[in-house]
Amino acid sequence: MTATMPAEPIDQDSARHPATGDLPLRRPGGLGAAGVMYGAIFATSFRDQLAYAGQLALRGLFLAMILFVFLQLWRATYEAQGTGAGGTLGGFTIAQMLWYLALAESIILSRPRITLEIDREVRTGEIAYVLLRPYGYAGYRLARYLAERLLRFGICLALGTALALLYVGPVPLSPPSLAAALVALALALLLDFLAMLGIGLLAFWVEDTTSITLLYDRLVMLLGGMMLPLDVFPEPIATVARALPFSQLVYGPARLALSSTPQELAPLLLRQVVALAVTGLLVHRLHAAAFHRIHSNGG
Amino acid sequence: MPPIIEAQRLEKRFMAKQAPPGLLRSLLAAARPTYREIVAVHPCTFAVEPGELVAFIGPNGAGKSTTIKMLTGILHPSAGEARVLGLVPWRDRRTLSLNISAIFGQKSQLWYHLPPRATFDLLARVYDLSPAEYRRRAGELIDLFDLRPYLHTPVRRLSLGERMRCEIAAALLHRPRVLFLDEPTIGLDVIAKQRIRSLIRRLNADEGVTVFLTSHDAGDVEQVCRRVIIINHGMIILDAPISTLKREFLQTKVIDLLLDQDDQDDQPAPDTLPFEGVRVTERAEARLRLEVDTTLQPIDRVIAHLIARYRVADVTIADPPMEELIAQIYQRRPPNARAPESAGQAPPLEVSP
Repeated sequence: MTATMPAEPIDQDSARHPATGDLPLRRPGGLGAAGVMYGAIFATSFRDQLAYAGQLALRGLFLAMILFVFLQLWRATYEAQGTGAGGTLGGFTIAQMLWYLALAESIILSRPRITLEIDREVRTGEIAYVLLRPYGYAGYRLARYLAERLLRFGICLALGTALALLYVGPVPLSPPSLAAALVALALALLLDFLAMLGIGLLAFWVEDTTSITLLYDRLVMLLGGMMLPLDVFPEPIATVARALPFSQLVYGPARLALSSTPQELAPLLLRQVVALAVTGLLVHRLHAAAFHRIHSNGG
Repeated sequence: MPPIIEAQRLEKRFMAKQAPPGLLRSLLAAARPTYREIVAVHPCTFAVEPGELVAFIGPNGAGKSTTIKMLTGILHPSAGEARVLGLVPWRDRRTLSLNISAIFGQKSQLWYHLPPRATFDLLARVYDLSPAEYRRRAGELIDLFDLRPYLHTPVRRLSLGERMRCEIAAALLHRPRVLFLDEPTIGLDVIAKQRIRSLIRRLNADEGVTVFLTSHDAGDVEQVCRRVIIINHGMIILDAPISTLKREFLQTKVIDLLLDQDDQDDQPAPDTLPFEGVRVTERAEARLRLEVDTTLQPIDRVIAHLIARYRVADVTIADPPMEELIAQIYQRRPPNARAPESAGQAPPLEVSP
């Protein structure tokens, strides 16, 4: 800063501006007010998503097709392996395999394209309206992401469950494992959000983040265990894939949901917490740098 | 009372990546990009008093929007100081946002698939308005902006004028003390523009909202504002009451005519007109551009003369372009104030109020 303006002292604890007297200068509210604010963004975003009913229906149709194709492929694979009825591959019966795929596909198909939205907001300058509000950009994005993702995931999961029941019938599920899977899934969604937010924020440096998004999406699909559980990957690829954070987004929660006991939860949670801490720190730094760097796009 | 907006040597520079011509150079540039420093806003100093209606205008690329973005805390300046309501915008962005609002004419804050009411409901929560306060304020704005007929219509089905009224109402829900308007009437028809302008004036009169407006439309400036600051290459070249601008610089109107000359009997476009203060500046087949000095010749007289003698297919009346206005201002400034780079902060033209 090259010049110093005579300071106009602002009494931050007072509700009024010391000069004009009638100004309702306020600090942004506390945790409760923030909850109401982000809750309202979540609710509005959820309502907005309902406008895309056609898109939601298409996703459902796509899920039904994928599960049907995978069922046929896995049936042929199980028969070729000569496992017979009740036989397993990588510890999965064919029924468990289809249930795994229903869960994994629901996780993948519910992923919002927030990197591209951030990219567009930065390029068009629409980000200006977000920055004019008394909320943080990351919080605003998280509220919108959760609304979109939870709605889509709920629909995909309901449909996936119905299809799995229709195609292969029920599989034994353990309530403690399901509860553990829910915890792992919550962390997985948060980790995925942080990664996508970080990629989106790169729009402040690169012209277009589409290629980075594409690369990340493919890594999540391939190494995350979307098409097949990591247990049937050949070694050493399976070990490498398990060690990478992508498996914590899809394979981890889906595998846990089908386990007989939740004993896999502790190591998975540990890895998720470490991944969240590292990604969170990186995104925090990126966020600070991006918003300091921001300059006018589109005048 | 101290100014509500103060900027002191406020400056914005940024580095822009260069795109060289040719495939080979482009490939080399991808591996080793080169950057050029762009000065979006040269150091500029000004102040706005509470309740003022200020037009902050200039040609494309003059730094108007960038200045607004710095004053609203969206952009960090490269140098200089600014205070809005006593707060440093980029440092106290969230607190400031509770007390100001902005409209960017080419961008929307409304949720596209939802009715305007949904955005109002959301903003009431965001700005922590009590249900009673929200009902009262929303009722006032809905009546003032006449929004009731399409309050429950999805935004995507609204006309631009209707949407713009909703945008401004949404921006005013939390009773901001300062309203920044960046091209608020862009793309609107004449009627919608008039309506928006009169609404802004009324808000200023009724609620004392300070208005800081940028626009390419001289109508916005003349009809809404009482003071004008003209910026060129980030330098303030005029800071004066609107009355001065009108009296000393906005004395001409430009008439663009398209003559209907399908028949051979039709008269060709004239080279001159028999009126003092009227000059033909362009003449090409059926097109004609005239410059009318409105202090010497009423514009309706010129139009009446043309319609009586020619078959007119289309006519538009506009103010002279901003570049011309700026050229006029420069012509009247002392020579040592004409070189922005050497002058740093160019002294504004001295004009009588």
